[in-house]
Amino acid sequence: MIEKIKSAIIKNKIISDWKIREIEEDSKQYYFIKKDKECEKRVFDKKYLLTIYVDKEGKRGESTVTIQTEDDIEKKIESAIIDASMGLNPYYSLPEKTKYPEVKIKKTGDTEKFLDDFLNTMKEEKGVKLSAAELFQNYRKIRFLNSKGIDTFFDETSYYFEFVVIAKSGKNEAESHIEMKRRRLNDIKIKEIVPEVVKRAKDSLKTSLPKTGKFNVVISGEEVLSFFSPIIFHTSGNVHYKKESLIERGKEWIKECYYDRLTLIGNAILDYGNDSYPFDEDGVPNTRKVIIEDGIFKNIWSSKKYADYLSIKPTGDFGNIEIPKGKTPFKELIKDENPIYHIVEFSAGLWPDDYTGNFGGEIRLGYEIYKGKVKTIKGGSIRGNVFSCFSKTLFSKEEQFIGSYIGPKAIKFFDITIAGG
Amino acid sequence: MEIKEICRSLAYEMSKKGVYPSVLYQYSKGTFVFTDKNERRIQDIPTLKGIVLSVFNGKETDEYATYDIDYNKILKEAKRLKERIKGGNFSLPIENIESDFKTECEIEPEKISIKEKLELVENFKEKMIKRDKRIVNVQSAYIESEDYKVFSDGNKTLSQSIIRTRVFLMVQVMEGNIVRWNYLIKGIEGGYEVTRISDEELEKLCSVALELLGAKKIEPGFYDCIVDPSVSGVIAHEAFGHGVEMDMFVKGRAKAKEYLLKRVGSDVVNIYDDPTIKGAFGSYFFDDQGTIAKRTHIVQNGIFKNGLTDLLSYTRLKTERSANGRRESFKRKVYARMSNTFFGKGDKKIEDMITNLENGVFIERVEGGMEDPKGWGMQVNALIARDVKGGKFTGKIFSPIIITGYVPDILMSITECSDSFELDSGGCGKGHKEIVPVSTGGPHLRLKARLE
Repeated sequence: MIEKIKSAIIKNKIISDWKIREIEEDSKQYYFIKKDKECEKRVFDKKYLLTIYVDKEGKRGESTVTIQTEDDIEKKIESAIIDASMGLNPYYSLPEKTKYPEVKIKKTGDTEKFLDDFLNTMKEEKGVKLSAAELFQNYRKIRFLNSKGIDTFFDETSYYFEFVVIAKSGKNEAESHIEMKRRRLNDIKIKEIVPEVVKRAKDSLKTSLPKTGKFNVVISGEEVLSFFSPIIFHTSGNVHYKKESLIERGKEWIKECYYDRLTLIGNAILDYGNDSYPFDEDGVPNTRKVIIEDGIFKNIWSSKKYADYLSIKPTGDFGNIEIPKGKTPFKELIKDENPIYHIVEFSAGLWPDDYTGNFGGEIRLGYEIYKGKVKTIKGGSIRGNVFSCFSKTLFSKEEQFIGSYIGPKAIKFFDITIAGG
Repeated sequence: MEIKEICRSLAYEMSKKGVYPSVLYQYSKGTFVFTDKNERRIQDIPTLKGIVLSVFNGKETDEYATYDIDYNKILKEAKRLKERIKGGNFSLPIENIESDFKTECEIEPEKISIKEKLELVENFKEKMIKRDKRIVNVQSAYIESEDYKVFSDGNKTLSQSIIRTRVFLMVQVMEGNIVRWNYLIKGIEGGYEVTRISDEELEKLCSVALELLGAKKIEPGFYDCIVDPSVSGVIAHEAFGHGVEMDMFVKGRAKAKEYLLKRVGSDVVNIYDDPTIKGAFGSYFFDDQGTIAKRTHIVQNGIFKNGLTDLLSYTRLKTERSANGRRESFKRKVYARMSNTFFGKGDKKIEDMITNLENGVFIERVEGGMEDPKGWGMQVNALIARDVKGGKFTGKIFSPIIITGYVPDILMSITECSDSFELDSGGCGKGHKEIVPVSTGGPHLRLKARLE
């Protein structure tokens, strides 16, 4: 198929450059309701994404089409030429053939054994029942070619796992739910995760609303990821080219900073990171790059297109979030003179607005800690802005790897608005 | 062999006592036309083309999905599925139907050239970007898609071609270090007629974005509120949409199960899910399990009457079957999902509702929502709350707004529904995945809620 697409491209002299991504997928999906398998599914998919570039009057237009059968080729190329000829933007070049980093992103696990282990571990838990579980094993192979001579490929695995546990006490029921994506099945540690989710479900049986006011808040686990998307957005080449960034390179990323200063690394070559690949969608080698160092915005991360526009070197994808660990043990983070809230689960993340940095989210489960007493909380919400809440931050000494993040297990923020009872 | 014949034949080949076989073919394609102050982009929405074979014995489903529409290859898989699934006594009523459905467009999108579509989005952008120097960017996009599906269980063979179109406009404003934005999304099951957006609507989009530069944070607490149809729609969707998707009943995850035929809202509360609404973004003619679309009255005068089913929940719960078995694509399984979910309208004039609001806020422009079907917690995020005192807007505005609360508390607090009605278009996930097109809406509602 690729040779046929290339032959058809060559016939069209108006096409200045091109790239082809051949994507093959093989997925196994398992669905459980309670302890019984409800559905099993096998999926195969294959497609070719062809991007053609048309140069006109010193400008460049691009358009991407999906090709699935040989009959599609001529018609799709014709339509892509029309689209690209009209969508003209300042010129940018394609990456040349180069050497790519070696990054480990494939490891197949034994799904049957994993599911047996999971169901057996659940059986050992008392006072709770499994409501539902889903496990996906995804394999993808991507071959990448372009008109500058690149012809390379990678293959990858990913595992998506989610389950829901229901705890019961008398007539009262409460649930806890977790979703995880990892490249390796053995990064989903059943023996650690199941007891944690069971504890959360049991804790959810007796809760109260948090207080209303400004409090110090510790966020832990997968929820720490919620805070970073506005920072990634405002340090991108795309946003800097459009002059929409709220932060300036070479300067402090927030005006006043107390306690721990942020260092943010975009690591697109972290072994077994969910967002690791040897190259980005244009064929630019991926990298590990320091974006913010000790509070100073050092480097823009950028695709080839915006890097050309800004006259900087392309970095490839942002990749996984990497943050150096802090100095404060978790036990110290949750110590405070006043009531402090440790939040372990939001109902649907924090929904940060990338553009403004505002965030807000309903608390699904957390703990109020005051004078040595711990009270479980649920409901109410927290609100803030990423560009101000990082001015007073402490990072935990303990680290975690959660698929697309490697860094402190918990982050403490000060004077965060909570609306509760 | 034609695709309908392939589907019918494969379903027939999988027939076995105690097993319900079905086949769904999907071919989805679309175009995305975008511009902002720096760039233009025209491209395909990635095409989805494939077929899924399914066998269900009342307890378990086994599925095989592939992009490769080669009858002989798929036939082997069909036979393998048939062999693997356990038979039994399960059966469904046989329906001998053959029908073809297609979205009626006032203006067929394919009759409009790409050049004209690009000019349209450029025109929207140009009208807004020069209006005020504080407008730093305008994103303007037109999106069209066609989702063609064929369903067959060997007896019933159906096809539908659903055309959906959308216009997305976003205005970004900046003053000093303050940034704000406002958006307008119009989405329909229909054609190019979606692009009829008036200059007044564009003007309002810009003026509200600029007004937001002066917005303050609201003092957290309980407020008397009037919410616009975009907000009321998401309340319906989150409160009695997700919570009554009846696969959640089978999993024991829905508190609503305990409230069937019980009061969950005030007398004025009526909530519906209806995939038959002509022109609504979440509409379809039949669901992905071949059930012909029909309306479900979920909450009737405050009483929870009916949930939304897929084949699994219908079978396990022995309840009425609704047409809500939907897949994100042929690559994913079916779940019970919403279509167009909304509050029924009332008889109040919105002007009177505002006049009668002594001390409260008028909330508009929803951003999204979430629910907790087990705990009945709910969150809706909106862009603006306007201060109202003595029945009049004071000019003070707050942004952003988070509405949280316990579902029955919010529904019981609803005292008035306006006689107006609007539907918004959007995408809805089950958890954080399985996105399907939906719409939400209703009238303006008067209610009490905790705001932050």
